[in-house]
Amino acid sequence: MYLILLILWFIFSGKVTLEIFLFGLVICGWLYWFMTKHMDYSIQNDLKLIAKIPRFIKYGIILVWEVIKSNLAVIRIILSPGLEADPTFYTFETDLKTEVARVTLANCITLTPGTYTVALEDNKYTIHALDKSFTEGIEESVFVKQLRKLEE
Amino acid sequence: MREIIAGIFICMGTIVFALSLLGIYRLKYVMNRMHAAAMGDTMGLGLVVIGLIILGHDVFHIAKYILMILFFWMSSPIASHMIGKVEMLTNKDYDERVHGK
Repeated sequence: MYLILLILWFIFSGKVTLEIFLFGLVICGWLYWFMTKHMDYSIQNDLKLIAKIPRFIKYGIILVWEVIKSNLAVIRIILSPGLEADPTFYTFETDLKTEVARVTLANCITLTPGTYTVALEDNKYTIHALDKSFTEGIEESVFVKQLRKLEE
Repeated sequence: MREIIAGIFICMGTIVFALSLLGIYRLKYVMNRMHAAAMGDTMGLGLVVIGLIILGHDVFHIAKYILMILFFWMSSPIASHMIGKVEMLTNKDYDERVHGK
């Protein structure tokens, strides 16, 4: 988290000089102290997260790929002459344990066009799909497999 | 050469935006229209920003463009989830909800 704050500081300042670097160190240190004290961040958790960075990157790549695929599917439906779509509601349950993973899954479902989460209660998702083909295999989608690995 | 590739990407992104606008007008009901709107957010914005990244001058430009995509992709699902939830809670007509009559 400290490194992310520092990188953000450099991106927003637009250039790297000694002065900016020293100010950044101090300000990010203070901010990180504040986050560990008053929010749920701690150094141990952050060190654990560092080991998972390759998995996060893999998850991001899979997400982009899924977004492209579903975009093409939605474009096909929009351009088809009679709009051959069959909108449905679909409910399923998941076995993800942590809240963060569940919310991430809901956000990823919403981010891909063609499906979005309408309600999320405990472990029950209600999603709305533009066509029935979007709901096939959504309980065991690639997102779920990747998130299960990230949870460990 | 670099400008041509970037131009192709930006044109593709604009076409995706146009398609999503067309989709909003062709589909019939709020919940179906939102799918078309989500297309512009994700792929249209992504392609335009890729074009701009190719045109970018230095590392900081590129990093800012990537941050733009990141924040947009983090905030847009929450907004569309809220719209969907409100529509679901206020409209009890199941047939209209599902088939968009």
